[in-house]
Amino acid sequence: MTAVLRLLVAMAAALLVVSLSIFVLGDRSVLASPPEAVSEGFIRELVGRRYERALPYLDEELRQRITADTLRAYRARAPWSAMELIDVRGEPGTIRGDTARASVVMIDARGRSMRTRLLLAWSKGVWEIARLDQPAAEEVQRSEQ
Amino acid sequence: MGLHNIAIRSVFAFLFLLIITRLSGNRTPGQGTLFDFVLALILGDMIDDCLWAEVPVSQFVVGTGTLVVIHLLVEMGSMASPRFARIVGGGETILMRDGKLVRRTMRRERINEREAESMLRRAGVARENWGSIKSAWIEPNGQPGVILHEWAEEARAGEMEKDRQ
Repeated sequence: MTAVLRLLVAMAAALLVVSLSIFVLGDRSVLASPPEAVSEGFIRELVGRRYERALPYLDEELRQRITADTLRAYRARAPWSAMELIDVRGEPGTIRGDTARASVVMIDARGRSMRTRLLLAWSKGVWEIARLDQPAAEEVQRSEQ
Repeated sequence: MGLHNIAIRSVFAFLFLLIITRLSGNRTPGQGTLFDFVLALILGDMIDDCLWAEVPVSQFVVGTGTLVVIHLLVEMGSMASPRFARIVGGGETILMRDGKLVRRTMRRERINEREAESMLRRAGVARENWGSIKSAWIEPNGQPGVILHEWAEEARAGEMEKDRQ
C-alpha cells in the first residue's frame, strides 16, 4: 500500500506543477493544451461526425445553447463538409489575455486545403471554443497532388 | 505549436512516466505477464497524446497515473491471492512431461512442434535431450521453464564441474 500512496503523491505533485504553471505563472500553451490543439480537436470531432464528443470543447455559455443536432447542422453547412478530408491540422494564431484565435487547416485527398478560424476563450485553466458562427472557411491553396 | 512547447511537454511526460514506473516496481517487461506488455503499449500511446497537446497535461497525468495505480493494485491482489493471480495473470501451463509434449496444451496455446522445440531450446534443452526433461512449462510471461530429471541435473552439474577445472 505504501507504493500506491507514493504513486498518488507523485500524481498529486505532477498536478500541482501543472496547476502552478497555469494558474500562477500564467501558462496558456505549454502544459495547457494550446488554442490550436483545442481547435484541431474540435474540428476533428466534427469531421468525424462525433458531435457528442465535440460538445465538451465549447465554453459553458455555448454548451447551454448548443446540442449535438446543432453541431450536425453546423457541419452540414460548413464549406468543407463535402470534402473528402484526409488531414486536419491546427495552426497557432494569437493569444491576447483570455482570448485566442486559432486556425484549422483541412486538406482533402485531392490536395485542396481550406482554413477555418475559431475564437477561443480561456476558462478555468483550459481553452474553449467561444463562438460558433456560420461556418466560414477560406481556401488556402488549390494544388493537385 | 512551438518547438519549445513540444520540448517542455516531452520532458514533463518523460519524467512523470519515469517516476511512476520506478515507483511501481522493478519488474522488467520480460518478467511480466502479457498484460504488463499491453499496459506498456497503452502508456506509450498516451504519451503521444500529451506530446502533441491532444490532451491537456493534467489529463495525461491522471490517465497514466490511474492505470499504473490500478495495475499495482492488481499486482498486490495477485500476491495476496493465488486464485486472483490465476484469474488476472493466467497460470503456468505444462508443455512437456517426461520428455513427451503435451498435445492438449499445444492445441490450447496454439503452439506447433517447431515452436515448442524453439522454446525448449531457449531454455537450454535441445531436441535430442528431451528425454532428460521431467517437466517443461510455459510461464505466465510466456517464457519456458524446465525441470530436469535428477540424473540429468547430476550429469549437468558434473559437466559444469569439469568445465570449471
